[in-house]
Amino acid sequence: MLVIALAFLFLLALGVPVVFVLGASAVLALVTTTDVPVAIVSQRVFAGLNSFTLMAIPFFVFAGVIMDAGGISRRIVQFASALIGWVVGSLYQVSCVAAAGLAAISGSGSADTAAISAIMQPQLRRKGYDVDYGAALIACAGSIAQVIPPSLTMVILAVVSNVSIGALFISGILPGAMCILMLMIISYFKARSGGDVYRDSEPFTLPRLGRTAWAALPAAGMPFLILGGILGGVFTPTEAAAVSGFYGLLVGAFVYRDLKLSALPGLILKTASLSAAVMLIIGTASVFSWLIANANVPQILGEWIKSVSSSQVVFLIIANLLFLFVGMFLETIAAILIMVPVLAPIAVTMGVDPLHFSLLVILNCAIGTVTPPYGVSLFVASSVAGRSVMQVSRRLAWPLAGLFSMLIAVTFIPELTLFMPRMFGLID
Amino acid sequence: MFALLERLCLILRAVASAAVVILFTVMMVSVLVQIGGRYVFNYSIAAASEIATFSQIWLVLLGSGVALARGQHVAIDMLPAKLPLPYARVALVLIAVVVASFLWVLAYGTQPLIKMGAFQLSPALRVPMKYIYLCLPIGAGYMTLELLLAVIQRWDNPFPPPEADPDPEEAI
Repeated sequence: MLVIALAFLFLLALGVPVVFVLGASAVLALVTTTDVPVAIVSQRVFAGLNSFTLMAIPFFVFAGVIMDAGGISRRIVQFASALIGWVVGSLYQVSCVAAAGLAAISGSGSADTAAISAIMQPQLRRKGYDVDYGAALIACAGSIAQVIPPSLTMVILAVVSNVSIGALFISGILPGAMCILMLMIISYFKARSGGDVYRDSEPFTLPRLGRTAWAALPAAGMPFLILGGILGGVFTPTEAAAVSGFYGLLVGAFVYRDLKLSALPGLILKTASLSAAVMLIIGTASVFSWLIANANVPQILGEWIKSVSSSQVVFLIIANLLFLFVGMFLETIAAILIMVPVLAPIAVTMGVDPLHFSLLVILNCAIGTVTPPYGVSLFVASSVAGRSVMQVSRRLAWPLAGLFSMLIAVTFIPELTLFMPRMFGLID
Repeated sequence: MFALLERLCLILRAVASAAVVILFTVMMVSVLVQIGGRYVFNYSIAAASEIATFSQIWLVLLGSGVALARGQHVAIDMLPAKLPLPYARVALVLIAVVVASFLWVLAYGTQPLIKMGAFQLSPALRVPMKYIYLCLPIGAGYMTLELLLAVIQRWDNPFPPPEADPDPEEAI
């Protein structure tokens, strides 16, 4: 087992793409520790992809790509700027609000981070803001797109752990909003003690708010379409994703008219290769998760945790620490496919609500995408800002502390997660 | 020789890209038709979700090759990027060998599936499953070709530093 762990880290450090690190080390483990023929690899990869539910992923990616090409991101930033651009450190505040707004349309933390960075970073630089802090903040705010529905990570988690996608989506709204609010509060204090550059803000006017809200309105239809459709039993999540993609297409082409239909094949190709890269990881990681199940790791770890303590609180702390540690090094999807089948059954025996546990996993995954050494949102935010991951990481302490405080709150107050699903009658 | 490989790869890439765009469109249209069928004609089309799922599997395997060409499979190359050129080349080749070995296992392991899939029919469409399983060896083969081309193209600068990103959305 140690050999495989070392091989895994070696391949990762060597620069092998993560999806193949997972595949290759799974093959290595298969050959050295079991008698199972390697044909299981092809079977697992195939089985991992043969899923109608997972098809929500390419559709949500398409919706995000098409909305961005249709000029949605820009309009959301303008609305956020009219809404909160008058506060000290306005650009930080606008980044947070816009990231939350885009999160309600986009299901991917790194896509959200990329879109907000692309618009906000040039402004941060021009106004003389702390660019590194800005990048760290946008990485954190963008990563919360995984917590605010729709969310690709939630789709994958729901498939792995058999919780309802609709309930999981709804359960993320409140914790997601709290994370964004926390980031705004922290940035406010940071900006207030920062100096004069942060005080250069725009006055609030009602007409401007109305005008930008009107422009952003068609975009706001999307989350209602998705959540309403799923909760109302009109669509399955996959269908809702397809419809939202189609809706985005209509809005971009006929309402905003920023989207040219001749650009469509290119956008579809982009969607397809982005989603293929995401979904191939599901394929190779499911080989890994099969291996782990086959080696009885869930039982062994379960026995160990029970021997440490039978307390729910201790279990939640161990699970959080485990996920945070894994999230530092591992790709989100792989972390879910490998860790959740191991920990979710233990959570059930410990009496943790499956929905509560799932949302903790999601929040940990979001934090995992900003924590170095491996964090996609951090990578994207740094690269758009034109700064090194090291430089941005140095500024990460405060925003990350904000997210941690919310993680602690969500861990110990299950109602934060369960309140909204209960309100909608999705759970007892 | 290299020129020939490059041309072959570019032709295949164009074919794969076109196929992927068509597969995605088919996938989306069949899901929308399924919804329409259910609400407008009050008729559930079982074949639609099967068409969509099979398109998805082919899309992922072919799209992964396109993603390889576009450098969209996330890797951490901070360490190898610091190596002097000769060692960086060794790392480049080593990476390619690891990836190619995995792809070979993936393709090789499909044999029993394809043998079985000659007789096994899909539940709704009644097509031999062989044609669905074939995406694994074909996708793996195409990815291997893209891999070879990437090694040749990056020989003099194995791990280029990330430039100020012109299209930041290329990562997910």
